[in-house]
Order: sequence, then structure tokens, then C-alpha cells
Amino acid sequence: MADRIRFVLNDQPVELDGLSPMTTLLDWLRDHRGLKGTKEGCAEGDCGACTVVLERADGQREAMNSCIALLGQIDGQAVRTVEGLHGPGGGGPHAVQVAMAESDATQCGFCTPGFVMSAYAFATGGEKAELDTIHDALAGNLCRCTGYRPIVEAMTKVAGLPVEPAPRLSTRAGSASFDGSFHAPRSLAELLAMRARQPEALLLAGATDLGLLASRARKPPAAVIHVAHVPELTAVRETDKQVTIGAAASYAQAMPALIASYPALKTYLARLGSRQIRSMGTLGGNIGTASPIGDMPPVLIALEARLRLTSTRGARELPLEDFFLDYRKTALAADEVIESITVPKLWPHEVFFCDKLSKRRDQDISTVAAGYRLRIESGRIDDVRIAFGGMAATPRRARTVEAALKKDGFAAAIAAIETEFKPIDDWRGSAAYRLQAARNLLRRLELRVASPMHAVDVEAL
Amino acid sequence: MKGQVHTAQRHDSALKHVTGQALYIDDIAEPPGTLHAALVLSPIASGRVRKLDLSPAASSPGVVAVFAAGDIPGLNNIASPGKHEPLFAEDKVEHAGQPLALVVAHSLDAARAAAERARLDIEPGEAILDIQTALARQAYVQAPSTILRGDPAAALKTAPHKLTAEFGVGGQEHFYLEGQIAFALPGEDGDLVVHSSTQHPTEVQHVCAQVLGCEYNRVTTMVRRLGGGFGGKESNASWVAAAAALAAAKTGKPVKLRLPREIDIIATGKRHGFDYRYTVGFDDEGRVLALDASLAADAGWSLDMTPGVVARALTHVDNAYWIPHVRAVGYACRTNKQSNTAFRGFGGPQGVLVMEDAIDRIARHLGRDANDVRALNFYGPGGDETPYGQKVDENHLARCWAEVKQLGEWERRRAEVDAFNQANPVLKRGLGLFPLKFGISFNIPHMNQAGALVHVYTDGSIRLNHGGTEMGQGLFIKVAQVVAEVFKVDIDRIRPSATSTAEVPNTSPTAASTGSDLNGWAAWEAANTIRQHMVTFAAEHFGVAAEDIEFADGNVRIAKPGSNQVMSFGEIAKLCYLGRVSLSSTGFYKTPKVHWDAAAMRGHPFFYFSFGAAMAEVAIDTLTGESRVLRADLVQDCGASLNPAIDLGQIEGAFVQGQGWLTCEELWWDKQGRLRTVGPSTYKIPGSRDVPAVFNVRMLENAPSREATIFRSKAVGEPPLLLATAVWTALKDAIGAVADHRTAVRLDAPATPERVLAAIATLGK
Repeated sequence: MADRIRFVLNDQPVELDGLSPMTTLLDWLRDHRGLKGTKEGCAEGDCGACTVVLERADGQREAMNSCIALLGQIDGQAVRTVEGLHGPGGGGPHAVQVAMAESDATQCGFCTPGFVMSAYAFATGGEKAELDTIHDALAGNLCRCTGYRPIVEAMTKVAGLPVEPAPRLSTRAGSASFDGSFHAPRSLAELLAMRARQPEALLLAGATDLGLLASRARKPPAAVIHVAHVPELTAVRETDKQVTIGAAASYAQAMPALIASYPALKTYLARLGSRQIRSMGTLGGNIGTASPIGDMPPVLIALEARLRLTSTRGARELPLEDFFLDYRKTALAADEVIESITVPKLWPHEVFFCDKLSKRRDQDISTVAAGYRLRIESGRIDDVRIAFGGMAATPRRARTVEAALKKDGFAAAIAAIETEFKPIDDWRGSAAYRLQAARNLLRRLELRVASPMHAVDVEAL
Repeated sequence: MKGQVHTAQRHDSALKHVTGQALYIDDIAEPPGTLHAALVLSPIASGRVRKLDLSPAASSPGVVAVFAAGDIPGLNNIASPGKHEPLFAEDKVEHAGQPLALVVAHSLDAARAAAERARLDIEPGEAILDIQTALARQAYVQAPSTILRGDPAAALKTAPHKLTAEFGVGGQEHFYLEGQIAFALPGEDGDLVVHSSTQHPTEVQHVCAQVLGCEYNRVTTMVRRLGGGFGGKESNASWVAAAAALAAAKTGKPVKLRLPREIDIIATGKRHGFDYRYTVGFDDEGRVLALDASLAADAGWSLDMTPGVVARALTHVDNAYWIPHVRAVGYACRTNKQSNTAFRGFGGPQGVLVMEDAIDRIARHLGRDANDVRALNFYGPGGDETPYGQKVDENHLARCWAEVKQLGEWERRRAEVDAFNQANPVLKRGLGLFPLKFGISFNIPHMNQAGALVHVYTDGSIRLNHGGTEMGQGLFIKVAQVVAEVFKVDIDRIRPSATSTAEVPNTSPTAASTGSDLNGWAAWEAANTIRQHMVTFAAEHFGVAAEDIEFADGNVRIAKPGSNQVMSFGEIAKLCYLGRVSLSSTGFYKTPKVHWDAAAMRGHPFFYFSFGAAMAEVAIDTLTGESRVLRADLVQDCGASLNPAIDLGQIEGAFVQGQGWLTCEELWWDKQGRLRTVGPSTYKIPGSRDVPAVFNVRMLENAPSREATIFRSKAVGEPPLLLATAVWTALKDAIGAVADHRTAVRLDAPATPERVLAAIATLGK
């Protein structure tokens, strides 16, 4: 199989030959295509200087980090870079570029093309000029010069520009394989067969984690199976009992259904990565990578989520809490894939809360994260599931805390934190802080339960 | 006429920034054969190098050459001669991240992969990893320095009240978005052009020449723009450039060295963290009588610019306050960490924290309002001399203070915040006020000089060059405004050009907020010389008096009795050329009045002071330690601002950068001394949501500089960074509210959620 990567760049079709599909989009743009407007600031998908816009077939524009995107992922997509923005009739700067310049929103200018692309996605996406939305749209872009105020001003000016027509995409109907190392199946059956044949190939969804192997470590994986085009893995389904999220659905795709069923996730998901990350990153990836500080596992464990693990041998269901065996070790068999995550909806009398602590509010990795599902009847807590991230080698349930809470109330639950967890010291927080914060999050939970009208969260201010 | 001084002008590169057309060094087209370099770094904080085996790197695919200390033809020294700061470590390594060697290959990936294959045999030694250990062992990079006035020991003894306290503040990573980069291109006879993202092209030139063992005239440094500097590309750019220059000279090929973010962060210096201990004596009203303070800076492994940073910290320990008896001792602690360096404010931000902390404690002790105590101690008549002997002239403190309290609605909001705190057991709010006095000039007098080169062409277009570098701060547009003002032409006629040691030599770094003060005057001198040539020629040519030649609106008017001849600026330029008149000139400026005795720590180190005031409101969550800055009101003295649009950007950006330093930006080393916050995923600079939702910025109006600064403007790069101190003070206020303000609060910075929670925990004890 010698397929060629084809995509659309700034309205022009591109077909690549003789390039590794593990080349990052940023390196290709700068070093091969000679488009120097897109910058490398961190090579870890965090600063946003490399932001480009993915143009979906339905006209939706999503900002993404080109530094951690592999060329193989871009096959069949349409990408726009800062060089591809033009004013009406194709001449002069685009309205977002004019607004950024006229708002004095540039100083050193190095981060600017990335901001411009985030602003472009925002401005042509039909969103309103609300501060909360603007900050959400900018969370994936760092500026060290301006203090952001003029950038926010420019965003206010460009909100609600006409939605631009969808690009013409050269969509690919069947599976593809690039360079014998990048496999992109288009059906579950093909994926499972491929997985069975090549158990050593890494499963790649949005590359918001694995992409760093290519961008930062400069050691791209030898072989990957790209799961993002498998329809069974990207579907989001909902019944009156549960929400099922395909493992390779992006956060952006999964968020509406999740937030509708669990409103507390709205703020939580907004703080997970940035738009650039959420346009590519997936629940399956967040779970499969088995980081002790992944944001989704603690809340999904608290919500009693189940995984559907599938292989050519068949499918099985596994409670998420049983998936994490040890630090970065999971119950996934070598021939299995995570097909989907099913989350039961809340029953009457059930409430769900979640918390995330980090040094910065937006786009930071959790120091401690927690999810809590409680069943409260006539003021009595008669069932509870609590899970923490950042407190142990894996995200996990706090069973002794749950038991203490059910039996003896919050004071006992708070005291049980120390028996349940032995966290570590690192740059995100000391063990002592993690323990104290976890105890205090239970106090916050108690306040939420006791006086739900009261603001007990600094974000409420 | 477009682009006069004192008008808001957009950054000259704004349209290029937004369209991606602005070229940074990594965007310059590479000649065929360009090689790429990668560094080999020490993974160990302290140790003896037993063996450095580069052969596995040298034999890696694509590798052209490897270089270590022994391959350096000149001096293995990136500091000025006499000091020892090796480009590549020799027998010992002194911090984790110290460069040992350079690998040069046909591609960047090949160079980086090969660099990882170097075999390092380093015998680990004992490492000093914190200030307190260094103090205990008296491990310093220079002898302690002291500012002394009066008899603080005696004054403390007799003072009615006395308090002693300790606290600390962390360092700060510059996090310029464009990492360190240099691109060295060899020419004939060993000449070298070095494109360097540097704030100090002349030092790049000198260090490259020193490492190569050649004369300065063989090396030309060029830089059109930097993707941010903030002090991090003052000395650190030089060794990056020298490494690239070494490889280019040795291979005869163009060599680019671009540091990946992680390497950049672990190999380069940062803002100095400080530990403080002080005793302050005061009277019943809160009048400060004496201060005895120790300021211990984490210098890291080498001297770098630590002496200047410590000196500026000591000369800013007084901040806005008259202190009759002062002893302030600065310790430059040697640790096995990155060699800390210049960072916007250069010790000033660290210095002012002492008195702000002291006044909060004094007020708490006396049960008085801290801000009344602040105002009570301001410099003023009868108490207007700094501890180092310079008078506080043109004192705008009281005015800034009154304006910020009005802008921030102090009375009303104090009451609102107190009411909020009464009603909320979990969330607390706090208010902080901060007065600012910041000295402008390099503390080293000879550095206060600048040169410029202006050409007028025969079509009337003008090319401008000066020694200052454009790093986003808008220096090029400001200096262009000055030149436009001299010739009375539209600013569009002036083409600022890349900073180059070949055009203007022997320059000072663009630092210490002095960029437009120095280069503005130098350019004015150059332009004015040409203008004088033009006037002299035109007067003779048209037979009128010099006073009758008038430059206005892009034209030159020759007022002759009976006629008013008007020529365009281009026409007069052409006429001058035909009349064989020079239309090119250098300009030179040296700051008057400054002198400094570094041994005695006395003198007149600053041409003038910049003033300001800030009010900040914060909210904290007492359960988690999370905080938010809700509002900031700033008043900043810019003199008669050259460009209010640019200055506004400087004020806002500096404040947010200072807020980051004091809140979310935390450097974290593990027990082996390896820095582990090495990218934006682990080192958190403020994001857009962290900026105060209400952010009011005023420039002090009708306050032209009394000193003869360029068009009576004042420097703006650094002073507003210190205004963020109000955030720290506000956080202490919010924390104090937990115990109803009965207890003084120790809050070390950065005030991460963890430190806020720790500060709350101490209140009960």
C-alpha cells in the first residue's frame, strides 16, 4: 500500500510524496512548504504560536496546534494558515488581522499568527463577543508582551463575522496506509484486524499526547494506527439512560452531550486543555494514556463509566475504575482497542460535582482533580462515589473515603483521605498540599450539599 | 504631518506581525549547506568531568562536527576577560543544564539525536541548591555589598517599636515566545555575520570574537527584531551566538543554533529569587525610623549580571519611603543552578518588596490602615534623600497615590470588600495599594550612552539606524517619531533598519528601560546635524537667514521678503545633494548627571525617577488557595509620553508579567537540582483569563519630565512591572481577612494555591 497524503492547504490541493507521515504539520509548513508565518514556541501544544485552523466539511473552523499534529492525521483535511487569510476579494489583510493590528494587540509579534488563527476560528464560528467565550477561545494561546487586554479587544471587534463557506475536501473513502507506518483504517473491522496484526503499533487518536514524541522528543513512533476515521469510534450516542462517547470522538464533539447530562462538567471541560487541544484530543486517548493526572478519569470513575474494549475476539465491558492497573499500566489487551465510553445518566436524587486544582485556571494540568456522585434523599447521603486524580499512581476511587462518608459523615470522610492516599511531591504541588487540598475539597463538597445557593468556589466571583 | 511625537502610533511592524510576514531569525532563508547545531548539556548539578566522549555523537548519521572546550581557538569564556564563565564546561560542571559541547549536523533532528548520544562520565559532587544553604556556607559569587546611612543599629535600639520578619520570592523564567537563536554565516577572511536574537548586539560581537580569538571588526551582529527579550536575551544570547559562531568558523558553513524550549529553559538564567530578613523600627504613628535588611539573591552558578541586580535591589529597598537610618546588605549566593540574569526590573521588583512587607506588618502591629502608613512615610520635604545619596526630585508620589485611590474608588471598595468578607466564610477578598519610585539609568554610568546613524536620500526618504533593538516594545516606532519630528516629515518616510554592529558600534544593551531615552536622543542628534546642514546650505543658496528656513508638514519653506518658496523635503534633499552637502550623520548621546561609587554604594545613579501607583483587588478560596485578580487600577508616570499607544501596551504587559511572577509562575527544581518546569505545560505564565477583568490604566497627565529627556518623555519598560506588587499585597490582605486582620501574614511568592493555603494555615498559630 503506497497511499499518498492529500489535503487542502489554504484552498490549494496538496499531495505529498516521499515524506514521513510522522513529520509534524508545523515542520512541513515551515521547512518544506516555506511558510514561515506559523511559529514554534514550545513544541508541546501549549503556547499556541503554531496554531492553524482545521476547516471541516460542514464549515466549522477549529483551531489546532500544528506542532503536535502529524501529517498522516491531516490526510483528507483542509488546513488554513496565517498566509491563507485575505481580505474581501482575496486582497489585503483579513478582518481579524486588521482588528489585531488596529487594537495594538501585537508587540514582539511572535505569538501573533497563532492568536490570529484562533481569532479567525472564533470570529467565523458564529460566537458572541462575550468575555467568557473570548477567554475560552484564547486559552490555548500565550502572549508574554501585551497582557492580553488589546487582544481581547480585537476579539470583541471581530466576533460574529459571516461564516465562511466550507472548503472542498478531497475526502478519502477507504482505509489508507502511508509509508507502511501510518495506518488509517476507515472501519472498525479494519481497525481490529490491523490491531491484531500490529499490536506494537501505537493507537493514535488526536495526537495531543503522542504528538509530543515527534515534536518535542523528536522520536516519532515507528508505527501508528490512526483511529480518528473509524465511524464506530467517533460516534456520540445518547439514550435516556446513558451517554456513549466513541473513544476517538474529540472533546469538541463529545462536550455537548456530556454537559447536557452532567452540567458540572461545563466549567471542568472548559479547563481541560484549550480549544486547540479539545478539537483533536479524545476521551479514549485521555483514558488510554493512563496518566495519573488525566482530567477525565476521576470524573468518569465517579460517574461509574464503563469501557467497551473490542478486538477481533469480540467485545467486553469493563468498569473504568478497573481499567487502571498501575502507573501507566492498563487492562487493555495487546489486540484490543477502546471502542467507546458509556456513562450512565444521573438518577433522581443523584447529584454530581467535580473539581480541578491547578496553578493556572485555564489550560493547566491538574494538581488534584476529583469527581463526586452522590445520592441524597431527604437530606441523607445514601450513596456516594468519589474518585481523585493526582493523588496516586493512577486515577482511582476513594473507597475508604466513600465508606466513611456514608457511615459517619464528612468529618470522617475528611479524616480518611490520609489513609486512602499517599500522593507524591512534584512541580504541581507537594504531597502535603495535595492531601490538604483533597480534604478541603470534601469540605467544599459538604458546603455544596448543605447550602447549594452559596458560592464556595473562587470561579464564582 | 503623521507620526509626531506625543501621538499614538501603531507598532511599525503590526501589519507584518498579523500577516505572518515579520521575519524572525529562524525565518531567514537558509543558504544551501546550512548546518544545524544542538547542545550537549550536563544532567548533573555539580560534579567533576571524568570523561566527555563525543565519538558516538560524531559518528551519528548526518553529523559534520562536534566541538567542546578544547576546540575553542580563543578563550573559553563568555564573560568579560578576568571573569570565568566557560562557554563549554571543562573539568567541572556547576549546574544541571550547563553546556558541555556542540554537535553540528546537516539537519536539526540529526544534531539533536546525536547530542543525546554523547557519553558523559561525571563524578557527582555536592550541590548547593538553595539560598539558605549558600548563606550558611558563605558561598557567594561576589562579596556582600551594603548600603548604609545613619546608625540603624542605634536607631533600632531606641525605636518605640521593632519588628523582625522573613520571607522569600521565587525567580521567573522569561518565557519569550521566540526561544534563543543565532545564525552565523562565515564570509571571506574569517569574517562572520551573526544573526542573533539579542538585546545586546555589541556583546554578541565581543563574545564571538573572544571565543574565536579574532578582532571585533571581523564579527558583525545583526538583528531586525526579537520575539521577546525581557532581559533574557541580554547576556544569554551571547553564548548561544558564540557557540554558533564557533561552529561556523570551524566548518566554514552557515550554522544555526536554535534552542528548543526545554533546552532554553534549563540552560539559561532567570530572574533572581530572593530570601529576605529584616528588622524595622518605627514610632507610634507608624513612621519608619530605621531598617536593617538582608537581601539574599540566588545568583546561580556564575556572576553574570548579578552585581547589577543586587545593586538595583539595594537601591530600591527604600521604594517610596524616607527611612532615616538604613542598612541593607545584598548577598549574591552561589548555587548550583542556572546563572540568574537580567529580567525586566533587574532587582528592583525584588528590592521594593521589603518595605511593602514591613509596612503591612507595622500597620497590623499598630492597628492602623496600612495605606495611611504608606503615605505617612512617602519621600517629601525634609525627607527626600535616598539611602545612597540621590535626592528624590520631581516627586509625583502623592499625586499618583491620590489619583489611584480615586481611580480605584478606594473608600467605597474597602468597605465593600470588608462587607464581603464578613458575609463569606470560604471566599475572601483583599485590596492592595502600592506606590512606585523606580530609578532610570544603567547603574553602571558608562553604559548610559548611545549612537545612531541617519541617512537622508535624494528622494527625501530617510533610513534610520541606532544601537537599540526592537523586541516588541515599540522602540523603532518611537525613535522614528523623534526623527520625523526633527525633519517635520510623515513617519512613513522613515525606514527603521535592523540593528547592526556594522552601522552603529560600541552600543549598550537595550535594557534598563533606557531604549528610547538613549537612542531617541542619539537619533535626534544625528537627524538634527543633517537638518543643520540643510539649513545652512538652503540659507546660503536662497540668500536668507537661517531662521527663515522652516521645516513643516513634509516641506521646507524659505521665507524671503516678498515670497514664500515652499519645497518638498525631497526637493530640498536633492538640492543639498547637488550642492554637495552631506545628508548622512551619526548621532551620539550620553546621559548627563549620572555617577556611582560602586564600592561605597553612593552617588547619583539615576538620571531621574519614574513614579506610579497601583491598586489591586483579589479573591481567594480559603479551602484550596486558588486566587483571582478581580481588578487593577494603575497610574503610571510616563513624563510626556512619546507614544501613548505603545506606552499603554508596556504598562499593561509589564503589570501582567509582574502578576505572573508573584502568583502562578513557579520554578521547581527536584532534589538533584534539575529544573523540572521546562515548558509551558509545567511553567505557567498568565493566560488571557488571568488578566484583571477590570483593568484601568492611566498615564499621569501634564507631567513632562523636568530633566532634559527626549521630548520630556520618561522610560516605561520596567517600572509598571513593579505595580503588580499590589497584587501580592492584596493577597496578603485577603489571607489576613481569614483571621479578621489580627495577624500579620507571611506570604512567599509566587503565591501559588499551595502557598496561599500554607499562609492561611499559619494564621491560627
